Amino acid sequence: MADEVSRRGGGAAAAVTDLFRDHHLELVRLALLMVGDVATAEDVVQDAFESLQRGWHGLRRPSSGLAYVRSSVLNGCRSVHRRAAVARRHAPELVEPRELSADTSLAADDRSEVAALRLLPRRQREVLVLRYYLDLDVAEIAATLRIAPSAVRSTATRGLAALAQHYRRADQ
Amino acid sequence: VTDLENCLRRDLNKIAERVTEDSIRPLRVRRARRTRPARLLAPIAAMAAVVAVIAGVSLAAHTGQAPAPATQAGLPLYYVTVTESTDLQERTSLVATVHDSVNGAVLARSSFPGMPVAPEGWLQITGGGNMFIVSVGLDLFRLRVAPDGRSMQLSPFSIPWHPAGNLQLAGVALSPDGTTLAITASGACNSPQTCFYDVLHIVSLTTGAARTWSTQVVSADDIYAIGQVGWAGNDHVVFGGVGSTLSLLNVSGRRGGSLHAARVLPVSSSPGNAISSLPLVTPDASTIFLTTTNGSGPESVESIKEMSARTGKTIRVLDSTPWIQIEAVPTSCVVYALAAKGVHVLLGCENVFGRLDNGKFTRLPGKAAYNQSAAW
Repeated sequence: MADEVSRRGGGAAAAVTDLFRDHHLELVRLALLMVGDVATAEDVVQDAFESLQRGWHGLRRPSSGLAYVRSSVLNGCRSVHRRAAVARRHAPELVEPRELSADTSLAADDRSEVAALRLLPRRQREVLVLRYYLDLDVAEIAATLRIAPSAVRSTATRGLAALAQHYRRADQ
Repeated sequence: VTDLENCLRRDLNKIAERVTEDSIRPLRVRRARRTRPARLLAPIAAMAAVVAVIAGVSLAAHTGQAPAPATQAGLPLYYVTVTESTDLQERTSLVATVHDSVNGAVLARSSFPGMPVAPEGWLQITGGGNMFIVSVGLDLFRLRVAPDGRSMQLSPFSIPWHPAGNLQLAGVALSPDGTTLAITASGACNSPQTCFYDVLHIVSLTTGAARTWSTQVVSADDIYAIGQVGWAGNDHVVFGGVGSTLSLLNVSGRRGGSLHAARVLPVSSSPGNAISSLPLVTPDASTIFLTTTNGSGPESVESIKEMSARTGKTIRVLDSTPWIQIEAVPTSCVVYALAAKGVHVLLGCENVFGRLDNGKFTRLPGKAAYNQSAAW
């Protein structure tokens, strides 16, 4: 990646390289929590950085590069789920259900809060992962998901309530 | 912080840490994108799309079709969507579209010229009749729609924000007479550990004069509590929303002041009944039409309620959002806008866009995009 961006030259290359060096691991982990598969997560993050490199000059502020690439990662994860859903619909026998595979992190412990995240709508899952894994504040989550801060608050509240309800049911 | 939050944080980190610097595979060398057939076809496809849009607009202009007459009582002639989209070169753009309320047909479409949509931007549209206001982050646009909905004018304008920086918009509402804009926002001053603001801006669209009501909140956890804003007549606003009570404030005076001058209404969020939007208030501020979220998780639905501002009690539940199956995944719907005291509702359900009229859901053309807002 560093070679690739330096070949393209300019301050953008340096900035993207810095972002890559500082946040690549964190973003792969974020993608893993969203898609449940390391290889797919790595692909999604690589795509996101390539997209950032191409779109760097369209950013309003260079400081928003991290928010941009986070959004790209989440968009990529959504695309993974959409493609999987379409594939399941048309050829279910050919699609390995990733979330149930042996090495799937999110299903590794069905009693964990993380496994219960799978039951939540996409938006709630994203907000909770950004809040409790990346420790982003409301404004940063709003920027990443491109939604209003008030929506972040309500979505987080609903997500936590759903998790709590899930555990109450599980305990009964 | 609850036990649940602690457990969630701990488990997320535990799983994430299974990936380490050493375990990540080397980056893959991708085939040059330009060699892909799709890439070669992209410019052609883009040109074709542009030609198709121009042809469609021209055809519509020549036929001179007016919006289909709204056959249902109170159904506005048209609604406006504002959508952020990404083209084949992954450049983002913002497009406003006027749709026929009956069938969703496109009546007019316009791009926001020179508008770079930053990742941190989010959209809101407010208004009604022929005048709408669009906010993209702190950028504001006036959108005037012709009475027949077939053309529109889009123009940027600015207001004197206070405090000047670090503001996050929470809600935007145009007064019923279309002359005044109410904006709720929250901000942090230079020392964000100690200083946060909730702000209400009242801006005259005719003179540009702005008045500000503000209050300092004690911690970052309270920020954004000001939430949504709506008008009760042309002299009062109601604000509040997510996780908080609603308050009524007289804004007819010549000066601003403290938000503490507002009268707290007995309408508040409660567990399992969270206020999610505040679209309509009667001119006498006696009745509020809002949406609340009932339940949680995939089964959550938004209920459209008529509530008494005096007692805080629900007068009646007008409707509930449907529960739609998309790609085998059940999806709850989100309310964009209400019309006719909540009888007509614009909804987004994952990528499905639709209208709810007295409990009947009608899917409308187009998709509910991730970053989209809509108003009657």
